[in-house]
Amino acid sequence: MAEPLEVQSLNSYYGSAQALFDVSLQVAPGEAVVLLGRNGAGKSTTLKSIMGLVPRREGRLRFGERDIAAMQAYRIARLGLGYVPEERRVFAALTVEENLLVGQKEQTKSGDGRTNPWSFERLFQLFPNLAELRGRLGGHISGGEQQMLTIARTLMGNPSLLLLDEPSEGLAPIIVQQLGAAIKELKDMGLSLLLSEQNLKFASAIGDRAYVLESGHVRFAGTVDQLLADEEGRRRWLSL
Amino acid sequence: MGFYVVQALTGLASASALFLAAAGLSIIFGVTRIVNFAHGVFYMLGAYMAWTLTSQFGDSVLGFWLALIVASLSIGVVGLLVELTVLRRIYQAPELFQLTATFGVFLILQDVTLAIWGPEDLLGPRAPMLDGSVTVLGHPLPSYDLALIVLGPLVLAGLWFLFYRTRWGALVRAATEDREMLGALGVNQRLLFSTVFFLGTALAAFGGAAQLPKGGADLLMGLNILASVFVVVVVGGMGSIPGAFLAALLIAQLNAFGILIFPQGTLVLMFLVMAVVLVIRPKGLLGKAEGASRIESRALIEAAYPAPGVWERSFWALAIAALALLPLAGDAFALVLTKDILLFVLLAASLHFLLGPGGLVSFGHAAFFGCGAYAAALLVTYAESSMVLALLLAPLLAGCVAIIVGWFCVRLSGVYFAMLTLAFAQVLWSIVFQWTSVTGGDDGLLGVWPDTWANDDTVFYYLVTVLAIGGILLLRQAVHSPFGFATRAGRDSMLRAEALGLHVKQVQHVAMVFAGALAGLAGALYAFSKGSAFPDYMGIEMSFDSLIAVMLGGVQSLLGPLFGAGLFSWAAHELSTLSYWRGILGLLIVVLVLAFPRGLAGIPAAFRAARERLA
Ligand SMILES: Nc1ncnc2c1ncn2[C@@H]1O[C@H](COP(=O)(O)OP(=O)(O)OP(=O)(O)O)[C@@H](O)[C@H]1O
Ligand SMILES: [Mg+2]
Repeated sequence: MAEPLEVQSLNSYYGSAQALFDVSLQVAPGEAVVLLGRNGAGKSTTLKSIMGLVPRREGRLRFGERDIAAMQAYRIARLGLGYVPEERRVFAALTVEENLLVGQKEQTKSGDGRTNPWSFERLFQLFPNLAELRGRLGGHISGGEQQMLTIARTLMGNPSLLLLDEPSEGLAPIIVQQLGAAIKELKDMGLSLLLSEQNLKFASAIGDRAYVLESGHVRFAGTVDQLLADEEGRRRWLSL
Repeated sequence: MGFYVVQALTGLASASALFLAAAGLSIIFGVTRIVNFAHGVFYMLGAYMAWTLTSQFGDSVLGFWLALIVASLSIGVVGLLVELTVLRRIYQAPELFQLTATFGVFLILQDVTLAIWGPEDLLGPRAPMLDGSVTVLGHPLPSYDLALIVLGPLVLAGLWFLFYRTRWGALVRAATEDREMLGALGVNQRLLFSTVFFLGTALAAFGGAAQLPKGGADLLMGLNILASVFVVVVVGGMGSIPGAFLAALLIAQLNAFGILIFPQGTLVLMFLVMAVVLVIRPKGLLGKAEGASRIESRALIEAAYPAPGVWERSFWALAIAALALLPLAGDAFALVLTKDILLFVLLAASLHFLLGPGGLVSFGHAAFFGCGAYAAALLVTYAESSMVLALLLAPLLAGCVAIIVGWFCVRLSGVYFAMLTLAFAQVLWSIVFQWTSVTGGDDGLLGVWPDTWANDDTVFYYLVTVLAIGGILLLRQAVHSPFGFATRAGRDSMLRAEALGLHVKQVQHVAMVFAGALAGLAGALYAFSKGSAFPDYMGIEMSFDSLIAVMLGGVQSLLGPLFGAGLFSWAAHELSTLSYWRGILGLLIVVLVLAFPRGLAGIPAAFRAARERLA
């Protein structure tokens, strides 16, 4: 069973510049939470902070019973958090298959003892496009394919909570649709999701609850329906 | 015809050892992003260890080859220990610290080798069954060369399998691209780094061990191979193993045939090839342009250098007063020592201008010091120039050399910049070393004495003091000038500086010329002070001594490097008679980098922090 994620009063810094101010949020097991905000609001920083990828973070970060506030990224990943970065960060010189291989953790250390449902075949079912690309280099496939690969690569590690950073960014509508379907399938499988987005439509189709960030502060916390109803708030925090 | 074929085969044979060492360095760099200066010493240790083991077990074919392998693996373990104790702590440190620390390790292990195996060169053993020679088209070729020729491709194939057919290999290649992402996927990088370091050093050691029957073992082989390995790795593309193979072949053939055409200039040739390749393909022959794009940002040395306070002003007043009064003490030796120290401090200060405000890690700064010294010496020797004229022209000439060298170097950045500066310094060194008819080669140029009016210890002392202090003050003035701001802006953020309308590369170029000219001034004064100019003045060791001095003092401070250089040069005078002084120095460097990564200037702050932690 997945574990709950709890973030309380998170402050993150890049050098002397503070990027997050007292950010608090929760993701319950099996829940899909979306993180919204304009460019530079701090969405990526929030996800990176959870994953232990910012230079300095302070606050309370718990995943289930574990305190992850001072943990290194690789340990956090082994607890079952999967991170899909905004820039995709596919290993360009590795083939698609090798990218997936890298994502696979050593079998013996599967964190909470869940069996890993993910295999190459299972992932190729979820992302059919990847199947024919097995031998191609990560750097030689399209942006949409890279986005699928980066998600698939993280799934290989059998996460129970998936942190997705703007997966729909810069993709053609048809690809965004496919991606949305795949993410919903993951949700149906019982994965918890924390999804950062600027695309409200995409986000609301997936998310149960939403947080809105602005300049590093949480401005809204509530259900997606509440956010959709709050026109004033949406204009203030989200519209360009 | 047969002769050329044999020559080419000999080249192929020496390419193998070179490739092994270069592949090791390349793998380590690819994953850890550390340019490991200690690599040369592992190559050397491999040879020594193989010498010991083969003299015990090397009589049978199996024993011989097993001895080579066991020697390499055991040196690999030494490398692993170095990784665990030193490198592991500095992966996130600025490049400069890493380079200095690994150079410290180099010095330590060099002296350890000296202590264990003694100073004499060791003759290589004969490889059983391969101690004869075969005849190729009527010319003899040692049979062992054939073994070496096979060895290179064999190891290449083995590495290829390891890197392209195992998960470990995929992890290593992934780490070369994006270590942070690899961590986020749950891969423990420490383990990966340690295994990579083990493999890299074992390969270097195997290179040294494999060439033992051909070239024996000596204490200089570490430093010698280091220069060639750098060239190979840079020409091939940092982190690319096929690149290293290709480059090793190229360089080895260049050496094999270059020696026929241009026997005096093989070193020059090698470095020229490197310079040309780097200018045409800044990432090397097979280096990937995007390869280095995602290295997590290291803590840059973003020192702001506040304007001098009361404390610093009083320091300067005191220092100048003390220097002015020193001749009254009547201690002739103190004058000589102080002169030397001051000139070294000027050299270090000019280097610091590049390292600190400029953010340019130069490994070849002594080249300009040497250029100044040789400019002065040549002017005096061939043009019978006066000292004053020589002192005026020498910095200009050193600056002109810096214009040329800088033109190439500023196109690169980071480690590539560092290596190219090293390469140019080596080229200049070998020109001076090998062009005996003009420069006197190893014997140097003698009889470079001051003009009669200055040919008095006290007068010349004052001349040196005034010029050195003047140069140092000029440098620090420059740090606070608009030009100094421009260099720092370029260092801290290239994009932002360009957005402000600065031409960063141009600013860097000017900084190199400025620093080079002042190093040249120091060199010219040094030549007059010693009455001579020697190739050592621009050798690697000199470059590194000045680097170490700056590091010792602390790059992020302005006064620190002056103290560091003073202390270093004083210690060198006092301690250089000790037999293991270089090793002690190395130990000191490593301890300093690990304990006080901010240099001497950081010690007060470190103690303050420690006290606060205790309180
Ligand atoms: N590596 C970094 N160094 C310094 N500042 C950074 C860095 N990354 C982000 N920032 C700053 O932190 C703030 C939050 O950035 P973040 O990337 O988290 O925003 P975001 O909501 O993900 O925006 P986007 O929609 O553009 O991805 C911004 O002001 C940004 O400039
Ligand atoms: Mg973002």
